[in-house]
Amino acid sequence: MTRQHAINAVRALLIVLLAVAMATTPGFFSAPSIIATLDYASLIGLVAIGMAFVTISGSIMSLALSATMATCGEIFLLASGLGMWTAIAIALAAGVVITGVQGFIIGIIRANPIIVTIAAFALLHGIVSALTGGARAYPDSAAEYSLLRARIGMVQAPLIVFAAGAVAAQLVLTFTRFGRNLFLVGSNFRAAEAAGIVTWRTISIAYCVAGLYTAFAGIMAAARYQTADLELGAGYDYEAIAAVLIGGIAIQGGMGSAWRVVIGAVVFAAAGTLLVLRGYSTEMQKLLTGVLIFSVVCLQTGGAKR
Amino acid sequence: MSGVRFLHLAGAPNVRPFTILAVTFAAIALADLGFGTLLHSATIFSVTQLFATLGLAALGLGLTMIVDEFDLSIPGSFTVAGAVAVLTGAEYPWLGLACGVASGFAAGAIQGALIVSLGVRAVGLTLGGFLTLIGITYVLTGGSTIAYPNHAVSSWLYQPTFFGLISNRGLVVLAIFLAAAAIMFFTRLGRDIIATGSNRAGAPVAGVNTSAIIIGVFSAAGALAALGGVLLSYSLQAASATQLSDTLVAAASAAILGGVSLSGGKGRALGIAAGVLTICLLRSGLSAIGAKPYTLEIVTGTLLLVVAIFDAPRFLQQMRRLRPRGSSAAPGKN
Repeated sequence: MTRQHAINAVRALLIVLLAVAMATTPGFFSAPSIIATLDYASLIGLVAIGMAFVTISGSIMSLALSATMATCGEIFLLASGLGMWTAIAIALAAGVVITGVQGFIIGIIRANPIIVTIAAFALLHGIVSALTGGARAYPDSAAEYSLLRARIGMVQAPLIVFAAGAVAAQLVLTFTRFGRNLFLVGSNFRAAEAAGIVTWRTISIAYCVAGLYTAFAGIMAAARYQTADLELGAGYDYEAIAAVLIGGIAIQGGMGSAWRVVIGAVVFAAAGTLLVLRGYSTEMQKLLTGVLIFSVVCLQTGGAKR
Repeated sequence: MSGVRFLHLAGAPNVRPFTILAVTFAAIALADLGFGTLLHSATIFSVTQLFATLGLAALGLGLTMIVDEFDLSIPGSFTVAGAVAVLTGAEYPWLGLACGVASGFAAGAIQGALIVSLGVRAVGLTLGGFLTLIGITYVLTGGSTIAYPNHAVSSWLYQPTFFGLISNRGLVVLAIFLAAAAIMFFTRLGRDIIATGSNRAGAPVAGVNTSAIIIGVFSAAGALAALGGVLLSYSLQAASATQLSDTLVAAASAAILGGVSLSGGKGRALGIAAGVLTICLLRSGLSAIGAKPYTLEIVTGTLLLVVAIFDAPRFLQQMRRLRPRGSSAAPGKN
């Protein structure tokens, strides 16, 4: 119990530190800084919501979401000549299938999720390079998708998608049978089976949802940059799991919410903006981000024994 | 009948890594038929050079997998140690070596101690460790490639010996594999490591200090990966934060092909060596016969996926269920 108190104290201290840093950093509350922060948080957040479904299901994390994001971004641009909505539908379907297949393998025979997703990462990189010949993807010259790059005041399109996605995810987690099953499968697999839950189906759906949200992130990023290659999602696996853990979702599974992911993504993005505004070098930013994630994992997992 | 017995022997857990190695060799030699590029001594030298680069990282990762954990920070220790050694070892290579290995050892020891004291799985914790170590490397190198000026060391490490088949660096890595195999096979430490991996809750009853084993394994894994990184940086005369970013995929594939079980408690150092050689042979062999770079990723990914499927706890159960007249499958272990 005393350790739990200590951990809570450190958490509170971190929050106070972050608030002080925000208040004392000139320009943090300026419009460009807030837009950039929310925009960054939206892309990380979309992948992080997907990652949260994987984490809650008891599968720790996926190392293939970055590759899925890039692949879906490329597919969206390559299909953009067919019309925006068709291209979106194709890219989303691709994300669901790519990640859903991994979920099926993990769910039906209890294959190791880390190894399966590392394998999926290598396979996606290999297959996409083979199909595209390593060339970058560009949109069709007649493509029209300015809606995805729209901005109303300080609200950009990715933020709207992220907000809507977070609400939808929370509704699914709270009110559907799948959501309730997911928490039970993640917290106590044997009990879930004993209760008659078809565990492989629950785990497969969780991965399908992860693919869906990751594909959204890929589409928004590809629409933003108007080009995509396999580096489009680079680093997003780590940033997404960081957002999930900062939000307070337990890495061992069985608990969590979309709101926690939203908080985690915004805090992570805000910390990134702070480091930039305070003039830290790119190298120093990488180190401090690493230290942040390391401390969060220690704090996060410190409370509960496995 | 002897054919059946041979297949049995070839598929036995302790022999399987060597069977896979032999089959890979035969497959690439077959694909190479008539060109003669594979059995060239230059190709074999490139295979053993890759072995020297990947081997110790795979051995370290494999050790953590044997105790039923997974150390994502292995590529981090590998990378940071190279930078530390280049920065401290220009005048005195042994000092650089010691500092580099010590940094990996420290990273492993700290993470191992936290895993034990917080009672958490290593995957999440070592993810944070990996990002921190890469961040440290970025700061140390200033984000660019730093050069190692001591040519005497690098040329000694690169020096081909044994009819030009392996460099001195490769021999050092091979010697460490043999030492690790001896420790795993002959000492009580080796048996304690296996016991910790197969039943962490039960091993203390048999007098195994599992906490000490976990901390020791992570320290050793960090130090091994670090040594691999130091040797590579000395040999290439350079270090950078982006060096070999695909180490993890290769090391995990090598360990798994080398017979390390995903559920812990199984694995041998020499098996891991065979797994590393398989990956290196694939990599060098595929490029020697002119395959495109992505072929390697597809082949490695497929191999990993196939092993993950065959090694899955419920694979047999589901297979039985698929049989047309299969009786009701026995309940699985977990």
